[in-house]
Amino acid sequence: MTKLSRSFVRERELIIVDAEVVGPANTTNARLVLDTGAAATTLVPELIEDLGYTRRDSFKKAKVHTAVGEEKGYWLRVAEFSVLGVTTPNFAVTVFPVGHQNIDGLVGMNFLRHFNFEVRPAERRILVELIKR
Amino acid sequence: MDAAKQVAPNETEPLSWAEICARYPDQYVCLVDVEAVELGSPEIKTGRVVGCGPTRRAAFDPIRDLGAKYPRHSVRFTGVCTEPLIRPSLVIDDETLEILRS
Repeated sequence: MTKLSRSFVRERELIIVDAEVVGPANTTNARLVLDTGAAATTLVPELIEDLGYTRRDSFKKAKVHTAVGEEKGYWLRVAEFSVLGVTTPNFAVTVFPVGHQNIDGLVGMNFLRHFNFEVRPAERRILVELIKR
Repeated sequence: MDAAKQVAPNETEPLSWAEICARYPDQYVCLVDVEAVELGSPEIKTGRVVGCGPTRRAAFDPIRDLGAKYPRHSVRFTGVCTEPLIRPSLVIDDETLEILRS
């Protein structure tokens, strides 16, 4: 069984991990919050635009409730999405602003459910165990 | 001019993250040739600045059409954001559930 180890940054008690996102125009690294309470992975609109996507590439509208009300965004499949050493092609993300200059989105359970992981806060490391299917 | 040979007008030499923050305080920077502190870490050790500005879009604009020359980049904010994170709560219908399970 393959095991990986990655470091994270703790900022304002949030777990920040590095992501690599591939689009039609280029590849970008992103700072995402690891969020086991989020069903979907979210990326901010500006990052999606930088990758060469537009709203026309979306395949479904999405709606979220936030502290400031209801917000409309969309679903889009990015060519490739990698976090914690795990890569998924053609990965579905929601696109919404998160209102924070240092954060580009959230890694949610639609990505995290594909492997086992253990967060070791004191060591600032996440251990990943890949599962054979 | 061949797009692959074009270079961002203000590309710097490799700078440490501390140097980047000192030289471009409280703004967005677009970085290339980024070296992380360790593999897969969100912490940046060094990078070349190819764009900067008050918005993410402004920082990325100098290389927006230079994907062949700069196939990989990273946009970062050098200041500290004190705004609370908006944590969206997705409205999940049956169709959304199927996407989440795919």
